[in-house]
Amino acid sequence: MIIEGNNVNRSYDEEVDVVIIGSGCGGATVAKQLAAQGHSVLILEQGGYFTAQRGDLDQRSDNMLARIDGGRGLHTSVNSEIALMYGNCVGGASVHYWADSWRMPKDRCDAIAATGVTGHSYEELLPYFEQIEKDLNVHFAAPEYYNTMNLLFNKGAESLGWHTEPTPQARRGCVKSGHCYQGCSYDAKQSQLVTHIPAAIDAGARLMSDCHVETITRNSKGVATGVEAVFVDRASSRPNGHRLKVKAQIVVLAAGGYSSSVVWLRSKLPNGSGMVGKNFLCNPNTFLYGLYNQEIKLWENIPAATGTSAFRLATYKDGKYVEGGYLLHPNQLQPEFLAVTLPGFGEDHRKLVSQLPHIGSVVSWIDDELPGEISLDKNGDPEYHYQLRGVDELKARDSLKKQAQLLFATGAKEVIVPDTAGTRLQSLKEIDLFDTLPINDGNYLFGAPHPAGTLRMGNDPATSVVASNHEAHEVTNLFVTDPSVFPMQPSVDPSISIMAWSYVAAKEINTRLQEGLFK
Amino acid sequence: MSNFMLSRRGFLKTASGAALLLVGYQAAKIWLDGDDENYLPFLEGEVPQALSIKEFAVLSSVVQCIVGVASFATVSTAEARTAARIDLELLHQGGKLLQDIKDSLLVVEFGTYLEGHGKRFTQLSTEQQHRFLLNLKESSITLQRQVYSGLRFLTVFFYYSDERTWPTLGYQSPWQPIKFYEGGNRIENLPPLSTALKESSLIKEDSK
Repeated sequence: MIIEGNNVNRSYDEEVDVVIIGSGCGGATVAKQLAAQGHSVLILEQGGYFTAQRGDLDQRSDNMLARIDGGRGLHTSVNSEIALMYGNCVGGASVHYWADSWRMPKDRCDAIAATGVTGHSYEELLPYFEQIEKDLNVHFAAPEYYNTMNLLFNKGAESLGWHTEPTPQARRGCVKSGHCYQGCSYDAKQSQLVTHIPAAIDAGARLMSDCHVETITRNSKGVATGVEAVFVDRASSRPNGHRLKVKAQIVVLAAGGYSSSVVWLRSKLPNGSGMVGKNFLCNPNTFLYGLYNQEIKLWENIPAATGTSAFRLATYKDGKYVEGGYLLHPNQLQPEFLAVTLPGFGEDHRKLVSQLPHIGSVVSWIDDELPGEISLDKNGDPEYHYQLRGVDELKARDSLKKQAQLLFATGAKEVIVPDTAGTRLQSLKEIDLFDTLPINDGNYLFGAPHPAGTLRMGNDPATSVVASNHEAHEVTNLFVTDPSVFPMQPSVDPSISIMAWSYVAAKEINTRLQEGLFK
Repeated sequence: MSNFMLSRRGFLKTASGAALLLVGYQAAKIWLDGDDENYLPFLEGEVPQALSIKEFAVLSSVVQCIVGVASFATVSTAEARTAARIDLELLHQGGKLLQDIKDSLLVVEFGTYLEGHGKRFTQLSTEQQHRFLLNLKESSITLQRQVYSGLRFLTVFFYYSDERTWPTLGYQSPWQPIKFYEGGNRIENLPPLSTALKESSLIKEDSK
């Protein structure tokens, strides 16, 4: 049952086994697993419930940013360096994701294990990966799904000697509309909205949308006991006057990498390590445009049927950075966002956007290591502090060079940098400008689609927030199941990793519930 | 973390204050104490919801300058009601984004004095406004670039999300029919143009 808080006309008092804050890849997966095991589960989602069936996913960027995106798609870090990209709807960020579905690579699982985290090795995650891939129909795209930019990407990478590989796709019956980022109007993209949420509901879970959690409650011993929330009017996001109190044996915090630490801080939960909100990573993405003679129409078909992981891991020589530390993929933007991200204004900009069908693009997700921080301001509103620097800046600069190489190799007659200055390159001879091009301090807006790390997992309560079983070190019965717990980025699109880690969490929670330690 | 990073808001506030000091008491008095009448002609019948009349007027001028002069094939920013759509979005947003834009508009309107124009942004010619925004864009001062980038982002997004502009982009249309959203920011979400304000604008125009 889904109760849309937007329409409730009374307050609720609930008592359940498990209350889950958030309905994205983490929350929905845990809900599905625990409901299937017979536990009473209540999912609370701050955003609205929007479906293809009702025609809500209408492919207009303005409407869809307002409907499904956190901050209505317009929030940035305090220094305007990163654009916060996250979901605010049933299904979370998976509703706007590209459906790229990589397993966390074994080398990254090993690196995380080396930090002391247990129970999340590649071998332990493998059965979960396989189950998720089956449930979400993860597969390689057939040739008909390669749009012009995808084909150019493969051609360019081949000419440069870079290996490519098909990007695993979570889709079923894709109609190639190209409107993945606005939410799939055909229920073809296998987001949580059409997979784990319905599975959880079918298994008996309930979901309340438009429900803003104000605080996680605890008893006198500091044990989590439930949540207090308010229902909000969907159009205005303001409280509609009705409240919700939930008493639960287990509280699951899965509000996402941008929001879980905010819920924690607002709830004034213990922070003995001082690590809550710290270690904020976000996979900032760099991208360039190429102007071609041929038509590209970047907005058609699926975004990234292909890509290269040739540079996924950074390489070093004598301790100095050499290259890599990012994924490289074809890019996709709908026309309005292309217009926004193409530089300039006035007549110059008009001339540029008149060539939109001939604009191609590639994008990189930087495997960032130097973190920012999420904190609350004096009003209790979140502030996101992040600055690309050090080795992460070197990775970004190298990614821009590789992107320019690829664009020129595929026939781009000009490369356009989406920076404030509107830098343009006419040939590869100019590529070294990326060594010094100003990309900080508001000169370049990085997309930041994969927030992580602010409730870091680890075995030492002095340096981490949650234990390897996903339970908070300092708050018994509070579990965290979203990318906030990642000690480092997965180095690939994180959706499958979040789900697999949530399987681990669900198993731990189920064990706890079955042991009846709460009675 | 905050030790090595500037807060955009803090920066804007500081710079706004500095700008006010620099342009002097009279300019600040105009902005803070009234004189809406001077700005009414810029409203073209729109009724600001989040911004003040003066802020909306500055935004309208900025929007027009950023989009540029519409050719016969395109829709004007007034027809696209771009400033009004931004204003509505700011009403939804409230908080920091609204305050940032208010601060940015203040910097734009009076920052012209710092360049020796002796006039506010809304009093400059189209060419002078273009040059001023170009200077913001190319400024070595982070704040000025942020002001430019923030206003440009909103302007371009809301102008080019009007379907009447899509033919100029070579874009056909989405595949799905549009569905009205109560929390949206499209023209259909806007209040109707105010006849009274429109008439007031015309009167003001006539008396110029």
